[in-house]
Amino acid sequence: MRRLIFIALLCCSTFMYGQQTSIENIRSVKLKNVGTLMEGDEGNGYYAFYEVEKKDKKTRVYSVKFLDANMNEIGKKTITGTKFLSLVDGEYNGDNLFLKFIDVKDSEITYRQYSKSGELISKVTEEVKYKELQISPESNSLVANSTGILGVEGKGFLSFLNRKYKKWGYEVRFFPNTKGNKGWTFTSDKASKEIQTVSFLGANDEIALLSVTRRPGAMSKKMDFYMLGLDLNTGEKLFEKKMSDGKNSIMVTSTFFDENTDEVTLMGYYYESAEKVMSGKSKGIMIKKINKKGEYVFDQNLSWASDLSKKLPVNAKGKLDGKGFLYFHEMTQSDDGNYYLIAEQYKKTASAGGIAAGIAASLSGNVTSTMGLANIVIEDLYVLEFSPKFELLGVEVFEKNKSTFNLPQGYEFVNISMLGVFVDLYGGFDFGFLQRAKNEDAFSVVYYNFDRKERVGSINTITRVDGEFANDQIKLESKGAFRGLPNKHGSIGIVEYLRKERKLNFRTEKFNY
Amino acid sequence: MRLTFWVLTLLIPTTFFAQDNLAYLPSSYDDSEEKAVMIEAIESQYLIDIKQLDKRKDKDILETYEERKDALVRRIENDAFIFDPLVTDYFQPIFDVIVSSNPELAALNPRLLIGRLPYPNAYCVGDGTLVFNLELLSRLDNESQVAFVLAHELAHLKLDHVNNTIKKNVAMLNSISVKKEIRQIARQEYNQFQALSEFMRKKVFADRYHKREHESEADALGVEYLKKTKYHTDGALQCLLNLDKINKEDSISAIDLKRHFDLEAYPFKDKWLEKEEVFKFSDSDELIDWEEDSLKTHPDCIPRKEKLEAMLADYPNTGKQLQIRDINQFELLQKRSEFEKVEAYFHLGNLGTGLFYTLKLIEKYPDEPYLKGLVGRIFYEMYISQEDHALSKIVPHSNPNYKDAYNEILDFIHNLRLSEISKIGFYYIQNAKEKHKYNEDIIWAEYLTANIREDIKIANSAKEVYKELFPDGKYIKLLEELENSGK
Repeated sequence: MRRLIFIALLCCSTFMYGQQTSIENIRSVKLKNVGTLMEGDEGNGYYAFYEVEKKDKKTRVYSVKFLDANMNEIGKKTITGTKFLSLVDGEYNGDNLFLKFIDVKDSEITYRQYSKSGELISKVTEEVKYKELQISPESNSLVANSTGILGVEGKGFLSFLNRKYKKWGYEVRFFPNTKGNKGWTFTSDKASKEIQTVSFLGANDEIALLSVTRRPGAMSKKMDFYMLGLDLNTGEKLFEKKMSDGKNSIMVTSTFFDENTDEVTLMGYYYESAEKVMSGKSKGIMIKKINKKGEYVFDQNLSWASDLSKKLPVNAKGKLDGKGFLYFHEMTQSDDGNYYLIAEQYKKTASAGGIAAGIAASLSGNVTSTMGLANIVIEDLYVLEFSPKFELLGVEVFEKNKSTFNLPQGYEFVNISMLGVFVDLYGGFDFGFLQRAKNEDAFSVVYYNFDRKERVGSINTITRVDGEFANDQIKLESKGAFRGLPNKHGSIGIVEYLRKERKLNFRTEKFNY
Repeated sequence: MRLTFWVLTLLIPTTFFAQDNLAYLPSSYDDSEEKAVMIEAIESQYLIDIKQLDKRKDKDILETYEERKDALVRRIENDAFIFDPLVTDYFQPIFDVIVSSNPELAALNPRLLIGRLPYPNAYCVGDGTLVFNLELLSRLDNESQVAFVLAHELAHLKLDHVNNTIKKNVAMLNSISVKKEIRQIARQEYNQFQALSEFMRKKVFADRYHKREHESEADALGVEYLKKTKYHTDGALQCLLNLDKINKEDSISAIDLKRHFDLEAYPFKDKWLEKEEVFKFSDSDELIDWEEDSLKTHPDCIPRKEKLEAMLADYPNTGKQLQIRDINQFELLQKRSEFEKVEAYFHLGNLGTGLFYTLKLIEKYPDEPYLKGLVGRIFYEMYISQEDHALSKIVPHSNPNYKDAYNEILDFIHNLRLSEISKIGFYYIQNAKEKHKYNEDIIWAEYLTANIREDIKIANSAKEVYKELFPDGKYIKLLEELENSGK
């Protein structure tokens, strides 16, 4: 997940933050959400959303605390709402701050935009269907349809939402930076007979580029990918082009928007047929580059069997020699034009606990156990380096400890590719995020590691700089939960739960490379 | 109970300026004997003070006295105070003259500590101890101004402001009406935070109001003490004017970092100067509406000066002098305080500020090897911290509340990669070595910076030279410690 929504360890009565500062909040101030204010690829600040008190029977008083990338408090805003209000995402576009709230009881989404001085630029509340607050049409989770915000420097913010029309469709909204300007809304065909979902690829001051997935039905094996271009200033559709090549079916896993050329690079798997997409047996990696008119400028497939197996120990179906498969997370490019694809090794294994729980449940007369019969075991991190013409130049493997993601019941029959998407959606991989440096030819991969013997976690970085990879490890102080948050390249935001003190430690650290 | 403690902590009075709570470790002299004598005096006074309290009824006061005593002893042990006669011998005679000229003060058994912490303030602890931070001297112009500061703190002591405030706050918190009010808030289902905030606001404002009143009382009595000495009462008026300037200090000029760190062997990179964007809401919803004026612990200095001026209108100051001893002594100590300040920042572990003021001093004293050596030591410490991902503990990040000039140096430090920190430190000292080849501070800094560059040859050579030239040098113990740790 690119953006982490750290549902903060429930109701900590104290909240410690800042470089060396700790603040003890009086009595029962409850921290509800902490998240990153993204600006492009970097974290430019953070928000903390907490419940202050009950105003009356129906209303709660909340406070949103804004912190800059250095964890300095830059301001607070007080808002009121029901007890079901959550702050699910935030973004900064260099001009304004944008927040997306959901209220699951009233089925409302509220967008608030503030200037750098704290002035409320816009507040839009929209009633939605309860189902539309789910993470995706297939999911039953209420983590929310939340991660769809994209800031556009000098312009405003884009947000998308999956909508339930005749079938599932979507809506894209644009909120301009300026006060009183209402922006626009683009809606997918409400009468469409296909399920359509959407995500952002990138945007500049003229165009918003999105990828659209279309399927005839939720259980359908046929899946097509489209690229949608919208005029940023009017919301008019400029084009919507199919990305499959007609011969093979594809699944897009990583995208890279080049702000200099306005070209989008798409990477993922290609399959012999739609049936194979659902079975997870890909033929290799597909790469497509598309310009802002929706035209292909590059299109190539690399097969496991002949192209990739030269440098990567995989069989014709993409299975690593006895180690499972690769899940592709993110992609980036260096100044010399080479591409780097970040992947993580994962495989499905039987869950001893799930099987035991199932047997225990049947022996005790219960109908079922809620534990799944399979786990996903996640291991090493891979960086695949490609030439500008997408020849695989080399593979770097970074060893890390195994971690396990418990699958819910029923998921043991889902194919490995779809399970990868599922694990990613729930933040189950150890990969955290990718940071690209603005002013030097460098990028860093942030991932988590957990030492089972010591029972202590660490946040690790792999940085490619000066043509070489450098590793670093930030050992965490406590044995509690932790997460890294995106920051400026070279630094990382760390949220760590200090169990003994019952405190949430929130700090910025520089990593070494 | 937690709430009670919080309120109590908030209300413990501070005098003159905010109290410090950090400590630093001096490297150049041993003062364990003086410390022991001072600690004994403080502990004896504590026993006398608590004898006057009822163990059962005054439990909260007793606890506060104990915490106060423990905190002060800790700070002495952690080298927050200077016992070097080169410094104390300047202040003690002034203090003694005021006390001996006012017999009512001698009975209070007062003692003076000179604070090493780089904050321009002075305060009365309440147990007979008065603290004058050496940094305050740099903001004063003459001996009479120093005498007024001490007389003002002695007046706080005589008027027992600190202890009276503690007693008053304890009585307030234990009063039936306040307990009832807190219980009512705790029982409130709605708007509890708002009610609690309002309660706190009222109590804090009332406390701060009384503190401001205390300052004016101490000014008036302090001037009376001064009148009985040979010090000129204009010192009091000038002092308040100078203190007013401290409160309004808002411009510090930027440092040309490129000039300091553009080294022939390692040229400066402009990307090191990239700035972090810092901004702050002007329209922020604070949960508690703290009105700034009501939070002040001290009234503005100008009205204080005007009050004193009215009081002193007819005072002749016959035979009084602003400066009794040679002004050179005063000025030498002022210069020394500049160096003490940067050393204090180093030992406090506040290296961002330390580097800022060290470079400022280098601009003033460009040929002072101690300062250049300190730059090397700072880069060494920054490297060691960053290696352990702890740089932000000793160098804060830029902050919208800081001055631009200070934010610039913080951004510079945080823009440096680990290898760049070691290279700058190393080549900076190599550069300084050209002029100060056999200076103790430079050799020591060379040893440290060569170590982080992993230049074993230069590190070993610097070590041997140091041992030979300075077998009893101020860094010899540290050198042995590093050697023993295998570095």
